Amino acid sequence: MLKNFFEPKSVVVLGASATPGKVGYDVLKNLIKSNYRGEIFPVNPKASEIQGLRAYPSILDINEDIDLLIYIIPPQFILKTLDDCKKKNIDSIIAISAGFKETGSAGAKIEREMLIKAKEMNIRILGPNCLGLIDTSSCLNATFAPGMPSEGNIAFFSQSGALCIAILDWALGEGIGFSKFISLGNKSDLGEIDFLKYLADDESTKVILGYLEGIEDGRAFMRVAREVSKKKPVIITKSGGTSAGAKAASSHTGSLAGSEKSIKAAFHQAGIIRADTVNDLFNYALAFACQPIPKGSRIAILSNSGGPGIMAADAIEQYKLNLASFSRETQEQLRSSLPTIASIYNPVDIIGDADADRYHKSLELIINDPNVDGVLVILTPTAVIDVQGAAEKVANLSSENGKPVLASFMGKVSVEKGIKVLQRKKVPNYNYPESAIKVFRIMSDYQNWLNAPDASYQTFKVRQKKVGTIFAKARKNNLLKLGEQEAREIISCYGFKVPKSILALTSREAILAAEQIGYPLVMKIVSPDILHKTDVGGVKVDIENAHQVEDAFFEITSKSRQYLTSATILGVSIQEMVAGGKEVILGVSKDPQFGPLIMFGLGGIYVEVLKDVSFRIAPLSVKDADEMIREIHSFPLLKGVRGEQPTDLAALKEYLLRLSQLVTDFPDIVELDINPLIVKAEGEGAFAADARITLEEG
Amino acid sequence: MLPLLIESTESYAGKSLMCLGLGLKFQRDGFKIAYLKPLGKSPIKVGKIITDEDAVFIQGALHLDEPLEQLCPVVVTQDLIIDAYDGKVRGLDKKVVDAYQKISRGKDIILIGGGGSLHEGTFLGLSSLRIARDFQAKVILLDNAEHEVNVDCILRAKEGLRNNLIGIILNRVPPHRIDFIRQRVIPFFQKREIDVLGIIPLDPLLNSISVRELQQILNGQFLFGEEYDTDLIEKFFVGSMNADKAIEYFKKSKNKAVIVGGDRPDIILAALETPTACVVLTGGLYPNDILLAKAEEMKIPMILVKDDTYSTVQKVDKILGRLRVKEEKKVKLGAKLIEREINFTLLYKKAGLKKKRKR
Ligand SMILES: Nc1ncnc2c1ncn2[C@@H]1O[C@H](COP(=O)(O)OP(=O)(O)O)[C@@H](O)[C@H]1O
Ligand SMILES: [Mg+2]
Repeated sequence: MLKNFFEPKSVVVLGASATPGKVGYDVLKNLIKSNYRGEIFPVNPKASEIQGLRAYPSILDINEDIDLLIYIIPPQFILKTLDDCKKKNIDSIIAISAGFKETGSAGAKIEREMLIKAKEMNIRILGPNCLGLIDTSSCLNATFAPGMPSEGNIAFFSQSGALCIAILDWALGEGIGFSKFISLGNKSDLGEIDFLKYLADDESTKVILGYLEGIEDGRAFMRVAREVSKKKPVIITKSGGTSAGAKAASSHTGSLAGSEKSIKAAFHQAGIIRADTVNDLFNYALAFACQPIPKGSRIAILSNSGGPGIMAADAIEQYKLNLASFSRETQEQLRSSLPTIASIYNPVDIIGDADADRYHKSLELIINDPNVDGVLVILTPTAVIDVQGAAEKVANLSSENGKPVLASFMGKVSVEKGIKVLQRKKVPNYNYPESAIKVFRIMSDYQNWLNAPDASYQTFKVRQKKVGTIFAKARKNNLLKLGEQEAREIISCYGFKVPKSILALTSREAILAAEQIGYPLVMKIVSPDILHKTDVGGVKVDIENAHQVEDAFFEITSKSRQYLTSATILGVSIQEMVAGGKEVILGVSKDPQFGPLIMFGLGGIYVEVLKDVSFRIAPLSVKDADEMIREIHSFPLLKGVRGEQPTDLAALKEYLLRLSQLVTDFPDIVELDINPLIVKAEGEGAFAADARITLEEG
Repeated sequence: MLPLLIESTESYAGKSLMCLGLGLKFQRDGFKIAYLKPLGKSPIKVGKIITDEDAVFIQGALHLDEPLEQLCPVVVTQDLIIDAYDGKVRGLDKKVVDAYQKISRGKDIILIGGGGSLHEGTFLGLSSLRIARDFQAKVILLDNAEHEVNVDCILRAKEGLRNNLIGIILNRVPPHRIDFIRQRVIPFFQKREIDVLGIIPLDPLLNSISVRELQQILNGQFLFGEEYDTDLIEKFFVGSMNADKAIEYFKKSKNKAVIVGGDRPDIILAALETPTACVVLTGGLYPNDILLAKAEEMKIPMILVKDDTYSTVQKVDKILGRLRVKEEKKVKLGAKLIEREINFTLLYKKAGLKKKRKR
């Protein structure tokens, strides 16, 4: 559907110029120079010929069919241009001109009007305020960037035009090829989602790269990315995390769940590879573009020196990969072909006097070992080694058996020519072994993503209608913050077990209630004005007799009144005490872009001090819920350490899924905390001892 | 024997401190003092009995011998409130009269701690108005004039009390408003036969809060400096500006607390390097060790709270000016201010009291 952007048969350059230094000059020059095979129609009312081509006074003066229009004139002409496009049946525009939304309210107004009109007319627009785009296979360079990259299988889209120029320049230097190069600009109409979809089916693209500053419709983005990433790797660098919406979140869990967490979770769930830096972005891209994906995580290291080999081995451990252990046969063959002081075990050290042949022989043995999924070849420039020769041999063996080979030729001057050979022969080289190992980690994660079965979701029979009614009533009463009393009822409609509880207005009632509940028990203040009951001395646990009930009643009610003189005290709830078990926290905060973000962590200091929590975007798949539980560092505490009984992880997982169902059914929940959920021993279930819910305003 | 009711136009006007200051002065002038808090609104348990925090405070400060049950015959608890709604409460007035008779024996002046308005307590049959009438008490009305003088309330009180209102005291008056009050407000009241017995200025120290109180209100955790918990805080700063600005502001005022996110090391440092009484770190974010070491070196207590900066500021805001004066230092200062700023000659004359020689 975006075909006319990439493979147009004819292009109009609206605002073509004969004056060097002008954007209209550079764009036209790039088009001509890139050997574009279609027709080019410069439009400029003041000239009859520009850069050797016939120029037209207006679009309407061109008699041929036009597929693509490049807009390089001031913003105020855009609406008129759209009218002309309609007349000429042009449905694709690259708006390079600046002066729109990015310059203030006047520009924003034009951009809004442009978008409305274009939508009506079914015209698609890239930009405005962008660098343009390049398609190396159709030889289209519709940008004003200096230089055209060589043909390759990496597609790159970027929200920053400046970054585009820098990267183009760098790619030229490194000899990295691109299939498509797209500058998104203001993303007024076309954005990352459209190009992801297009590139997924683009045969010349093997890897999709992106640089994004903001993601508008996070949920749609996830949906599309999840499909695309099953076809080819999608690697994205995302900068500028904070959004106003995330800051608005109020509770402590809210402040934990900033939008950076959402992005991390969203990318993970959509199979997007996140690159923290532009450097990583290209490190990863090169590997995916040039080498096969490893089938497993067993990595072999081949080096002509001890130190770097050991560093690489450490990195393997750090990145939770496995150091491959060779078959007996490989070991024997390595032993017989290498000098006796060489190390034939992984990391293999073929020692300082190794020549290109020794690299060849050892790599051949290693790469064909069935216990190896990928090889890192490290070379330090000794006096004896023919670096270029070694590079040739390594490159020739790479991809044997469909296994990836990455290189780390260390140094600068003496390895330069060798690296050129590697580049030409498509073996990615990394300055340091750790970077290469990190790349293996990323590739192996991607393989796991490809292997993972499609996400499965579980739904439970719940009382959704009832919850709807409770929310509607709360809304009518302008009660948007629901405390424990209401929240208990809501989550129990979704299958959460809650401790029995009775509201008592006086100490006498409290004693009567206590007899019904049974000792030991818990007493809590009930007040719509008090959300953190413990903070005001409003919670007493382990109450064992009527006498203690009376004392606790007095203390809870008077303390609460003292802290908040205006608090409406509705009474004290007398609650069954859940004995034994581990306290965990389930939280939800709604992210403005991605929707409900679910948090899980172990209660107390684990969440509050150590921030040991995991996040996923709802709806959670069964796998998501499982991963959330296992991902936290304190997971061993849940599983049971030193002969302790394991906690009921099945119940915990089910509750995460039920929670996900609740917040998916009711998107107007902006915050929800179940703190604590007390998880008992395996088979004994879990109890939500406290909960609160905040509904969206309006 | 003179029953003297200390009443105020709104809650938190400074009645307890006033009772204390007047009591001390009366004692020094040779009077025998009793104190009665007919309706205790700050329940607290002392040993087995439920009583009122004010009563405990005054009992100690004035060295009174009567038991707490007599100083405060009725305490407003949750149970009492619910019973009152259910119509199950009767005879509270009798309890108060009994207590009064017991404590007043052989005394010259009975200080009665009133409520936040003359009508407070009507619900339980114990309004100040009624108590004033029943005991034929003279009344001193205390007004918190920090923002403005509550003229309406004062005039209404005069209507209700007539000549039993012996005068008013304006409390917490900011220094720049004192002239206005002298020139305009006092004459206004004099014309209506209301005497102004004193103007107590807003004192930064009296208005301060101790590091310990702050920690308790915020439910915070001491990361360092628990031993300095009696240090007093007079001002609050919120560290949301940039570090250069922060230093500029911070160095200008001492006895301050700085409320700042635990993730703002620059501001924390600025606070630690200027005269600061306490640093409150919000968001449950621990500072790094360098900052902790610095706090130790500067002997500045650091409190970690879970709330974000905004909620923390709100809490502090709500509580300021509502604290009970407890610290020795503040009590002494309060008593001194009262003695200095109140026209006792006029007070004694209006109350019909004659100074005795202290025995
Ligand atoms: N029913 C219960 N059984 C056992 N422990 C409980 C129960 N309810 C509360 N608690 C304990 O008291 C703590 C605070 O209670 P909670 O209701 O969460 O109050 P808060 O409003 O302060 O979050 C919980 O973290 C838990 O340790
Ligand atoms: Mg809780």
